[in-house]
Amino acid sequence: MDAALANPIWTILAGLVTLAIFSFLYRDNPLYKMAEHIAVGLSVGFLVVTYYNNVFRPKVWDNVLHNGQFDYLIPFFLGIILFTRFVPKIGWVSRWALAFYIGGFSGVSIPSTLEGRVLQQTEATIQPLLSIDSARSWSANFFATVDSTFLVVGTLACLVFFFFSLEHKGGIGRFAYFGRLCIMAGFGASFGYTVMARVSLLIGRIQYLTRDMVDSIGRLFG
Amino acid sequence: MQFQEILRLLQNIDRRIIYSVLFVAVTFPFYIDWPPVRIEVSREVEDAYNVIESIPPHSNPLMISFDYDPASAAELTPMAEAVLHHCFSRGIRVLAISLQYSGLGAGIASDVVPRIAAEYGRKQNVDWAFLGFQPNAVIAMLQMGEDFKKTFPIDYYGTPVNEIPLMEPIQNYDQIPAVITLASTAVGEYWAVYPGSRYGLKVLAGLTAVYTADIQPFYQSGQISGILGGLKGAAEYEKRIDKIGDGTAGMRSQKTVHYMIILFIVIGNIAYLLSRRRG
Repeated sequence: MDAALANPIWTILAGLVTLAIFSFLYRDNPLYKMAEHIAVGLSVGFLVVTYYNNVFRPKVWDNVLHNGQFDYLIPFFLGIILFTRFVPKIGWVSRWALAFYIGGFSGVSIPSTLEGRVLQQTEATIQPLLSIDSARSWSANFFATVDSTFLVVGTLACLVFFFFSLEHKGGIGRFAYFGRLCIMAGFGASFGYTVMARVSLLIGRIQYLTRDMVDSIGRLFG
Repeated sequence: MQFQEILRLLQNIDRRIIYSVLFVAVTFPFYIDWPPVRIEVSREVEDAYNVIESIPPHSNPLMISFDYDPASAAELTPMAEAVLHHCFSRGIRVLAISLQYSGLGAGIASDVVPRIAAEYGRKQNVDWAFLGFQPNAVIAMLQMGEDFKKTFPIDYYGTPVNEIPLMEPIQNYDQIPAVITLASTAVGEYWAVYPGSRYGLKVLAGLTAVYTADIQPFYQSGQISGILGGLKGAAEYEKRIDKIGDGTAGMRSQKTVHYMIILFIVIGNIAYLLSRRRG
């Protein structure tokens, strides 16, 4: 990140804003509020400029005014009427654009979602329970077989856990309980990853403060 | 102080004490080489490495999608840097884009890509190009499957894409050997579901640790060819390309903090059990 803010003043300023945000850990205070508002304002400003330069200018402005492609005015018009929501009397007009967007997106999305999220995922659970490859060692074959069996049995158990047409008693109950354990193991893994992610963010900020900011202070005053 | 009082205090440690301990646990390892960490390259990272390694130098580019904002930069920028080091050191061309909804990913890419490219003397628009940002990730992904130049008429710097030599042979995903999405949201999954399933594009995922568990089924089904998960994934990739970076540096702190968290959990539970036993 050091090259991103080559000017040490900006690096120090960014570090100070980070410290202002961290001050919330002690208690809410005006410095934190100020840093929060700066972050929100800058994000929105950046968003507007990026959308203008990367979307509006090349796709609408250039196409319509320079290339004579007037059909781009149709999506532009649909986009504009979304803003009618701010005028209660004609707010209903925005539904046309929303209807067009939802209809079009559903048509595009449903086949791909079925293919990618349902069919291919189902296909991946349909595999031989015995996974034996003569090129692998017996232990590798053993663990591959355990993996395959666990995958199929675990998937079925999770499905049974959410199957409420049969009472979860006896064998069904025990199988559903195994499904619940599998789901809890999944949640546990997700939670572990989440902790790791949050710690990583803290590491990144502290690296910035102790390395980039300190270096910049050295460059500025050294 | 009564034993019961100590047990009560241990179950209600002030959060500011915990924050201070975490701060020390993160900072301390930067200055001393402790604790030791042993980074082993996982199968998911090895697979991702092999896909990128198999791309011939100076041929069609690897696509890197910067689908994250500064909030996730601590995890994903080390990954981006490691992948870029790998590509540029081998002469693999890079085509960068950003589909992160706020557009902030474009700002990160515009810093990281030119910086690493300059280290290897790689030329803009010949060895790498950055096409910029597009909103609505799914629509952009599908449109690129038909025509890149319609999706990105100009690049991030305002150059018409038709004038970029790197883009000459690129019409759609058929000319792209693989994409790696560096994502902090479900966009990583969208790459597998839309371009991966519909156009057969080879998809690699560099994800924040939060999303790594969610994306595993797509790796198991073969819809994603390799995963770099969180800072650990970045560290593994750095080890694989033999280039130490922020990912590896952060793993010491990661380990120390995990020790501290486990210690706090154990202390809290022991105090709870003892206080319950004593009524």
